[in-house]
Amino acid sequence: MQTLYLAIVILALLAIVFGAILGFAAIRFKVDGDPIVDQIDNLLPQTQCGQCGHPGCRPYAEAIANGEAINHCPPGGETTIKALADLLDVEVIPLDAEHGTEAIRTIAYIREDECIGCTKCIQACPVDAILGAAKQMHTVIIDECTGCDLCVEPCPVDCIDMIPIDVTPVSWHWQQPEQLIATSSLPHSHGESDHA
Amino acid sequence: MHKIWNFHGGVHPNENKTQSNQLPIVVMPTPKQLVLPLSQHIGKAAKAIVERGDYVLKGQLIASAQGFVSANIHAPSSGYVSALVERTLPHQSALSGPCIVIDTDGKDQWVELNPATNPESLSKQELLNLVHAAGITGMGGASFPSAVKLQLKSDIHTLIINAAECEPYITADDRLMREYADQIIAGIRLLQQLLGQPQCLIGIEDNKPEAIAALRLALSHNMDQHTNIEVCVIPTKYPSGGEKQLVEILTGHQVPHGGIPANIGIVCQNVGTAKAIFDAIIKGQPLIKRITTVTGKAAANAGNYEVLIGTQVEDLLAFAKVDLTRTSRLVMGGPMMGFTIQDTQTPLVKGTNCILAAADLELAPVADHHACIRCGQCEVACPADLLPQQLFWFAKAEEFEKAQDHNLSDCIECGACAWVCPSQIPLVQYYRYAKGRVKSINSEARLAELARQRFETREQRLVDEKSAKEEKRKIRAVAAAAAQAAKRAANPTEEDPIAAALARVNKQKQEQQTAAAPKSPEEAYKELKTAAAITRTKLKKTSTALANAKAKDHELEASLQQTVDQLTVKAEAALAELKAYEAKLGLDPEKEKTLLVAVAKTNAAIRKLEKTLATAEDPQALEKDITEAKAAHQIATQSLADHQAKPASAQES
Amino acid sequence: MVDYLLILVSTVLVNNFVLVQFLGLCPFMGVSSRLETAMGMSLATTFVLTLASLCSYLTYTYLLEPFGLEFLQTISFILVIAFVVQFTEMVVHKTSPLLHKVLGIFLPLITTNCAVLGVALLNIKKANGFIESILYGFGAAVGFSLVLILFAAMRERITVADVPAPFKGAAIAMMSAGIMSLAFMGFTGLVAI
Repeated sequence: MQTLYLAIVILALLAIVFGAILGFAAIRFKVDGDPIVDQIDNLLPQTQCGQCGHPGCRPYAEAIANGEAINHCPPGGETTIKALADLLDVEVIPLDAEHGTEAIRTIAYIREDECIGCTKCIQACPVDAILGAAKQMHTVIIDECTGCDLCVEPCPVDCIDMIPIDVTPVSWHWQQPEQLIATSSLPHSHGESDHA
Repeated sequence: MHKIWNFHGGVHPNENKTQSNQLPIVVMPTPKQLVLPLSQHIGKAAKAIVERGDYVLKGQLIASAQGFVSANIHAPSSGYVSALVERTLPHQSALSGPCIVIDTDGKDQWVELNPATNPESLSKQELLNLVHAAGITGMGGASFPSAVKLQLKSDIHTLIINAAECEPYITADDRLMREYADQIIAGIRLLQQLLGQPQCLIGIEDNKPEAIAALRLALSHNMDQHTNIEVCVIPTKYPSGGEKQLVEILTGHQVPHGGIPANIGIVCQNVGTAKAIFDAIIKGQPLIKRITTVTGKAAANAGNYEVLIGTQVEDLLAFAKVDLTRTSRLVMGGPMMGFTIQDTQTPLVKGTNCILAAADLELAPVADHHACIRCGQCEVACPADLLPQQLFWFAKAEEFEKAQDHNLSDCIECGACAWVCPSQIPLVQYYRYAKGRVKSINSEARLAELARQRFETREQRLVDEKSAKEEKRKIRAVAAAAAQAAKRAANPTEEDPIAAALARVNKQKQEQQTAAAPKSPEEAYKELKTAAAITRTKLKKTSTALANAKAKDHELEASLQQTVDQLTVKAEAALAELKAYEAKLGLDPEKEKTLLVAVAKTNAAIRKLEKTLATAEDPQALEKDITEAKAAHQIATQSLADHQAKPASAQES
Repeated sequence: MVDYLLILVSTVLVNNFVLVQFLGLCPFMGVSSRLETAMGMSLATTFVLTLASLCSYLTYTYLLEPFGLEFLQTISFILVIAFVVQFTEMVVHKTSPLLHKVLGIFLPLITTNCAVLGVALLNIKKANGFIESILYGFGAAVGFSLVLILFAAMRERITVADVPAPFKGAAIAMMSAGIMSLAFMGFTGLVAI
């Protein structure tokens, strides 16, 4: 019987001591904020387009930090998914088609003949890439445009086109060579490869 | 005897140099057309300073360097500038870029030249200016503007002249040295003068005994002046002609990672560049020609040709009697570092040292490659002491960070690893792909960062504007309330100021409507066009919303349908009003467009016929066609003018 | 002195906890997909193992043994280990939030790592003294870290290699671990402890 009491007392003592130390440590090592959000935000393409369902890239970064899937960003595409997977040590998953598909980068272009100077596109642009004022001609600054597409909707005369960027010898890059090794294909695809 | 070191790796492919180095250099006659790309060098493209129709003399400046890293371009022969157009560039991508096209007149008339009268008295800066003005770029293939490369702040103790020409098939430098050794030595002396009299080492492979003898003979003339120039014979190995490899062979030092030879007090220049500098300073001639090897079994007259820059490949191939039907692959450059060209109208540029017309199976056909067997031969062969196998795995798996950790940027893309690979994996293509991706990822990250900053600044601006507005509003509200209270206190019987203001505004509006000033036709037209466009856009947007609602079976479908019907009516009305206005004024934008197209077409037909006139077999028949085409063009222009004059006449009547 | 060295050699190589005694396999397979996380995990585990080994020994010698409560060793060791792990987690969270995020659930899972409890219990079984207990725990951790890092480096290469499709992923990882284990069995008989 005495052993039982002793056992309970010793265990309780251990628990209290450890609990006290942990409680003190919890206050001493308290972490404010969440710096991981900054690191996630740095990997996102900053188009602020909203295709992920969040009003901008930072809110989506915060959502990812809270566990949201990393495959909701079409402008970032596979590169961003891979980078996020690397950072957070999760699996690489394909882009969620519900949020859009990865398209080539485009730049907005205003057809100046039809522009009526209403400034609605200027207010919509998240990076202030449209130059103009009320009743003055509006034009897109090509270097600043991220191709987010948010200016097309508000235009009342539908005079904004999204044009893909031309490839120049400076921006041209080599493609990855074709890989025809049997092990590159997944087991359920292309039944022609007869390697075991 | 200067000590020779060795660099890691390297391979020994068949040299195939006897095909083209047996005969002296042949000067190719001036071709009918010269195409000068504005970007023949690393750095910013030059800007054309001539226009279509200008007459230019041989050696005249036709495009000037833009910015610090850029080079001038000169007309290689006299003639008329026939166009400033996009032509296929001598680049792996086969993209087109802006070029100046010159139709030569055969006179080959030089512009007034200014050779240096007393070159030894020229200062470093003056020499640099002359080199820059002559548009000299590296002739070994990289085409870096020489004036920039030679403009250094650090002290240079060794000038290395790259006479190695290590790549198989190419013999341009070999013949150049055999025939112009004296000029080359003179060019080297000028370079030494420019760089502060460093010692000079000429690195030349031992497979060129005649060239070595020629250089040594040239040095033996005026022995006392050339005491610090030495010919260093190095063992034949590919790629000993690579700048970093040659530095290591001749000095035993390695160029630091990410650095240039100038960081360790060394400058390298190709032997052809040395000759070009001689031509520029002593003869006053800008860089307008170079020696290019034409080789390969499909070339009947394989050899070295002195060609004008801008000569199209097909002209050179015709002169060298290359049988294009036998050519399985046409390569610009050598078999290791060159690229295949499809368009034979591609022009030769300052860095084109070889055209290889391979017949049948002279060059191995592009084959499917096998799996990497991890044999490690590539690592043995790599002259930059890298791990090609690891770079391959990383490039394949798109793990670019790891590839960069393994010094991907130090790869000189020589192709030695791909040459030894038993599985025939196109390793260099993988590295180029990886480098390209790294570059684009970095630039995207930079752009994203800028966009984020702009976004955050904008957010801040909006917040500031809002709070400023709030402040102002508060102040104004307080002031207004005080003023109103004071007014009411002073004048208790006055009517409500708001109602008075409204009455004033309404009166103003009514006055405006009755005394409406007549709008000019253009204003009215634009207003109608805008109104039509606005209603059309609203209709389009609501229709899209309706389609979406129908697809998702949304509750707003009914009300959306109603709005769509209303807007359709409005849009049609606006469009009808616009059309009525156009009819009233006799405007017809559709018809105007058709007439404009007709004018352009007839114009193009004339130009096309004129172009073929020069090489036609039956000029008289063509002349008749041209007259007909001109008449058609005249008719089209007249119809357009009539149509455009209509509104004015309609207005007057 | 030689005894201490022998303990180290034994725990790190001959009787490696992961590959020979097959303890602690959960974090071994779970955290070894990337080298950076493996290094972080090994540091955390080393810290936990050494500290837990020490605390367990002290608890047993001064709290349980004097009062004849040896039968409480398992539960009190678990208490000790849980405390140490929780403390470690807080420190990691503060000093390296990224590592904390990346290690994720595996950090608290060190609590259930059978190697940790195994070390504590084995110390008692072998009647190790104070220094020996610490060294035993430290050696076990070094052995765990060594194997974890080796395996992570290998897995990174396997990920990009031409593995036949049916073997990709966990299958080839398991097979590689098995072959590594065979290799480490080669140390058998080196030290008789």
